[in-house]
Amino acid sequence: MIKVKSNITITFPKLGWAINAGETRELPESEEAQARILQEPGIEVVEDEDIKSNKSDKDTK
Amino acid sequence: MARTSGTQVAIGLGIESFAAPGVAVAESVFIPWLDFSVQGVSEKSMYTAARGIRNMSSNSMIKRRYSQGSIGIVPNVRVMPYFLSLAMGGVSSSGVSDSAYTHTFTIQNNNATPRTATLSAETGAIETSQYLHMVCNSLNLEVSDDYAKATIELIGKFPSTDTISESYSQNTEFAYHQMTAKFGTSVSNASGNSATPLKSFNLTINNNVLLDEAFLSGSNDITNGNLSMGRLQITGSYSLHFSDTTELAKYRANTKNALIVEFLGSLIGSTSRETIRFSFGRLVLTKPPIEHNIDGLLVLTQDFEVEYDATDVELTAVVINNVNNASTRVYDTA
Repeated sequence: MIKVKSNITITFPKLGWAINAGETRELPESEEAQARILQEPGIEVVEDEDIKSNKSDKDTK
Repeated sequence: MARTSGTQVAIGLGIESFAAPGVAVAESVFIPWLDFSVQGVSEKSMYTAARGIRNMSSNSMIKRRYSQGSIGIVPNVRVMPYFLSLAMGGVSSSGVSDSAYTHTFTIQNNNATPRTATLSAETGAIETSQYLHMVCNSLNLEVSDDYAKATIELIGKFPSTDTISESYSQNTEFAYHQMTAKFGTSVSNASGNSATPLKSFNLTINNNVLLDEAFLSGSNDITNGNLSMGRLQITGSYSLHFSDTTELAKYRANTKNALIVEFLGSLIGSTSRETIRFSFGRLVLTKPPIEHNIDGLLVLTQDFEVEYDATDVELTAVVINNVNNASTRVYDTA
């Protein structure tokens, strides 16, 4: 699923989707909706390596 | 039969290419509106010749077709640049500094071909109208003791159809307590002075669009490029408590009176802030200003007309926001 990050707080009433400034969210499933959201200059796709893993890399044994 | 409320009306606007006025562009801003009255005008002319009947009119025709109306908003740094671009014409945008971009708007004096916009208005599920070649006839700003209000009056071509998908962002909606007014003998002198508390401030930028000159033989619609600006008149007023003779002396002596009115909003970067600023080079005070209010305080209401000044131009507007117009050119499409 495509995730995006926004530097503005913005709502899309017809798409039923919104995002806050600084938040990372998944885009809706509809390709039309994704295309419309990605038109906004403040919204960018987040690459997978930019999303931090929650797993600890310490060996606790 | 479905009924549609006013809140289901969505408005989008995009600045058209300066080289191709009247050619549709996509919306680049959606406008949270307070008032909206833009619609198509189909002016009729009645045929009233004597034809042996008493009824005055025996035929009619469409004399001319265009659109006209206004949009009222609470000014913010997202929508106001579009209004200023249409009202003033000249746009210059900076690169990024502290996450913010500074956009400067000036009066374009070669305004025979003004800046134009595509306006789209979706009225619920009834219809979506597209208005091309919209020019700003006037821009009005009023502030007193509540939210500020900006109203743009637009004139353009008769509507066709469109589709839109709106979005609305969060910005500081400017109010009276975010406004400061600084007076001085020049704009530079004013910027170093302390703010003068005002009760109210009003401004009208009137382009006096020559609508009658847009209709020539061959068509009763507006042809692209046929809407021209007339003479520019910038007027307004401000009021304040009458506590000393400083303001009164300016009226009596016609002293050069420069003014900076500024709205400051939320932080964009670490120190840069959302800003809308108007700098007036010279206000000519045109009416006796004292109001003797028996039930209240003594007030001065200064009506003004802005005069061109060679050293400080008549009006410069600045908006600071997070839109990279130098790259996107959303405010001044080439």
